[in-house]
Amino acid sequence: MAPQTKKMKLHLNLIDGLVIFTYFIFVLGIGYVLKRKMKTSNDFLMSGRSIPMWVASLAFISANLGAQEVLGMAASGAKYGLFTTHFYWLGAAIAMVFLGIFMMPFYYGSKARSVPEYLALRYDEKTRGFNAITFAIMTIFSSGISLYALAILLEAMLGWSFSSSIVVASIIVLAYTYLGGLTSAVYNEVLQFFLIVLGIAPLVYLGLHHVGGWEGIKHNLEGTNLLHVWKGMGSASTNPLGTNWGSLVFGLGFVLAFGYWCTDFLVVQRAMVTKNINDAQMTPIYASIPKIFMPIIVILPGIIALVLMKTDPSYTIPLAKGGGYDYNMTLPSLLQHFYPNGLLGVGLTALIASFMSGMAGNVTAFNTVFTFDIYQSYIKKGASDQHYLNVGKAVTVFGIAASVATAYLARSFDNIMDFLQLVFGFINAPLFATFFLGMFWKKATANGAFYGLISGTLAAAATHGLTVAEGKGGWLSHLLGSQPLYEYGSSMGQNFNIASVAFIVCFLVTWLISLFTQRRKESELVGLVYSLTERQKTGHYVWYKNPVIVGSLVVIVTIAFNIIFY
Amino acid sequence: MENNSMDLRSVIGWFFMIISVLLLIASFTTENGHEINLITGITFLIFGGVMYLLSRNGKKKAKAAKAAASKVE
Repeated sequence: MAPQTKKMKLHLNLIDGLVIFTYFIFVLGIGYVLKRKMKTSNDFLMSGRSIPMWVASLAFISANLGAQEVLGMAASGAKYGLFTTHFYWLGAAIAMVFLGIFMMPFYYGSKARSVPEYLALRYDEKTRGFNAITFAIMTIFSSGISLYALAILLEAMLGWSFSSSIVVASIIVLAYTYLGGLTSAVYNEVLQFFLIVLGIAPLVYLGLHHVGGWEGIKHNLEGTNLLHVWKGMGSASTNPLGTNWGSLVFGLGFVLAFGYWCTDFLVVQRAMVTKNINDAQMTPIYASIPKIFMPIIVILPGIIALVLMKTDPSYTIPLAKGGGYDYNMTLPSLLQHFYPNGLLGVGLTALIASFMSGMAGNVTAFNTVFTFDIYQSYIKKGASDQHYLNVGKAVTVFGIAASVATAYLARSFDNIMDFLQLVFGFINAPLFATFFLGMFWKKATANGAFYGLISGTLAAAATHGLTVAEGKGGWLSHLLGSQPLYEYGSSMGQNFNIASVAFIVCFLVTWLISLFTQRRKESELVGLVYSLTERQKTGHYVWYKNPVIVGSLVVIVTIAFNIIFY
Repeated sequence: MENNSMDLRSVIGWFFMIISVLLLIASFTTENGHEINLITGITFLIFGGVMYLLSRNGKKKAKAAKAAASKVE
């Protein structure tokens, strides 16, 4: 990083500093004002289930608008071009609609306070415990990655040391999540959403203007297939993702996307804290509307950077320490290139906001799951509410400290997105199979789910250990003294297949064991399983509050985008 | 929002209005980037103002609903 630090370093003036300072004051102010409302563990960890739908919807996407989205997607945009939009137009949007229409009635209707608690109701305590622990590990990883991304950004752009950047950022996030709990995190996520979108939008405008608009991009990237979504997906060797359409559709479009958006408590929690079931269903569906257009803010800058490197000799994506481009610095380098003082402060604040948003979202999900699903369930049952409130606050402090440790670990990976996909593949992919069978197959048993989850996670780890991609993985082959079984064209392709293997193994093991183990009485599964639950009538809602109608419109627009950019 | 004693629209409105003032100052005091700071500043000012007005409107409606409810009681 050192040679680039000089190149990347920004010259902020007083106004830039005042913009950043104003943002910090507002963020901490929200936490401070909400502090006096945090009287019970429910207030602190569940927002008292009183969050309005529009706030929940924006928080739903903002909780995901952390480092992996803002820095990682711009990096992927520069690396893979429009193929990166698969994360939105194949994965996220459709999965969010599915969550709203099919899964949210069970989460909200069961009165579970968390996703692991639903597993306890549907299966048993050991499945809940396994999920709670793996989820807790995952949130700490994600939170640490957000912190890591913020630290390298501040190191490169402001010349702060990696460690001091981590200390400052973690203290601010700790302050507002400790004071105002989940409500403070959710409110700040909404502020951060607007700041990120409105703070990066001028960059897209300036960038497009500079390269001659979309026509200019098309002209300069002629001969590549970087401006297509599906062209070249017939084979792994004819597209930059290094995977074929089958792996993409199943691995990303089905397993990873549904696994993340439908079972990850970090995002599902934002819908579970709304006032009623219709709001809970509409939260992810409304959130999917801006999500479809998010590539304009997060992917297009990466593509603009590619064109700029061809047309503007004064611009380049910074080089990485070990050679090649440091794609994670694409967006910061564009800010440096285009933004004058004033707007530079806004752009930098938008980036800081995205990392804080990602970190706070993970920490608040972590403290809820740890307090309710681990501490209250296994360590101390039946204590006073004040006790659980204190535990929730203490766990918030612990979560931040663990994130700091993880940030140092994340330093060894050169593409944050690849790393996150790997972690999600290990944890979310088998979990989606468990939920899918649990919600839609009444014969799925607790033992089937538990051993299915363990098998799926082990299968993910084994696949990663026996294959390599871009020098990563293959650790199990190394231990066994043998050659890797397969070498993938890219880490992304490897991650899609790890997720697919994890899902299939979990699905098959759960199905097989369920055939031979005792299942629960049907009367105990009412409200938890699709076929045993009375369908919710949505006909009386106006069209814009009807999950099926709005969800269908979102799917139609998503399909249209796939066709337009084929 | 009122049950948490804070209307988020008002917070967002004030935040963007303050930032817009800073951008407008920047547009006249910095050598480069006069135009983009000015355009962004005006956009932020309009957005902040709209959020603030929505918040005021929401408060008025909530007050009227409260008054109507107490009359019924």
